[in-house]
Amino acid sequence: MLNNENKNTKKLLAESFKKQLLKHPFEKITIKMITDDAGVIRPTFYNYYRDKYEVFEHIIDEELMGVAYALIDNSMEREAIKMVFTYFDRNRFFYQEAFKVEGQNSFEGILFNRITGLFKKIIKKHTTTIENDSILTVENLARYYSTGMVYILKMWLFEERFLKVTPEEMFNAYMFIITHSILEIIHQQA
Amino acid sequence: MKLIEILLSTVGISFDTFAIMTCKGAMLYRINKSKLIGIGLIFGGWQALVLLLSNYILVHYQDNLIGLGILLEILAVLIFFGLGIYMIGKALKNKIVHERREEDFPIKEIIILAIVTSIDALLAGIGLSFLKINLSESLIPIIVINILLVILGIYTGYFYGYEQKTKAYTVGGVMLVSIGLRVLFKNILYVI
Repeated sequence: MLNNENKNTKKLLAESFKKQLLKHPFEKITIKMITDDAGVIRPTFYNYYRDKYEVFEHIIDEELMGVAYALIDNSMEREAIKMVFTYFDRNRFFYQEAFKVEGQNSFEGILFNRITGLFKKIIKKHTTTIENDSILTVENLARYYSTGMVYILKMWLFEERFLKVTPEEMFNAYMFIITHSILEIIHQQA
Repeated sequence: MKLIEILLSTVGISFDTFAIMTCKGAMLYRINKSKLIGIGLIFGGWQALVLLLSNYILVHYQDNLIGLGILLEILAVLIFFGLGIYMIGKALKNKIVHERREEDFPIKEIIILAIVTSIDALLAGIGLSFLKINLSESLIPIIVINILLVILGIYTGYFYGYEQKTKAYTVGGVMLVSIGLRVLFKNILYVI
């Protein structure tokens, strides 16, 4: 029962943080603002999070990565990737603000690490023909694909010409990019 | 009345300490009460010591400074204006602090922070000595005020966050500027 209560408080703080980010720039959000909105005393925050950046990590882990990993465990990799786009579309306004958090502890950096973890899981699940390559390691491949996905997500959230693109359309475009090499695309256009 | 100058300068400088402590309190995971007293004694005690020492040395050097007369009072005005404006400046700047959980407030860090932030106490002590104010009679209250504001600052930061530092800087700054104004109008311009 105590464990559930802790989980609820943690979630409550995360929800409060999300609300605050929709109203104020990240740097102006204080822990007191988060705890006041959550209805708990200020010191409670440190029982669950180290700082505001850790709240970002928790939100992504709880709302996205947990489900995505479960899909991958059930060999539903396409669905896991599609879920990323659906999730970001549903939380568009929050992540538009999140991407504005720059610097050493940028949100983009946090997301990049999480998506890298996602691709590592996908790659490790399947036998690859490049297992013994020193350059094309699982880590490097995962980071390469993560860079692409984070870029696509950011572009989709911020560029006006993509505002009306649905998650399905963006997912299809992304899948096209990662399943075709640049050389194939050039030859197709030629 | 010299008591007003003593009170304003001691409390004014202590508000700087209070503001710094709210930032530290805002990072603490939990407050260790026994350690808190230690922090109060080290930090608050050091601030009080610097204030008292700088004042004591120059007060007892007064005979050599007799010829400087009004110049010393002008210098005192400048010191207190400078300190006050500096603190009000910190309030206006309202520097954002990255609130991050710290498990502890190490003694080494307390000592370094106390030394670095004692410059204004040093200047305040000198300023008061230029006004021929001897703080040694107010030894106990000065030490107590400093220690209390250290402890209060930590609790304030812990429960209310670092944002309270702005109010502390403003109040402390106004107090220090007030001393300068008081000396200017009373001792130099003879208006009051």
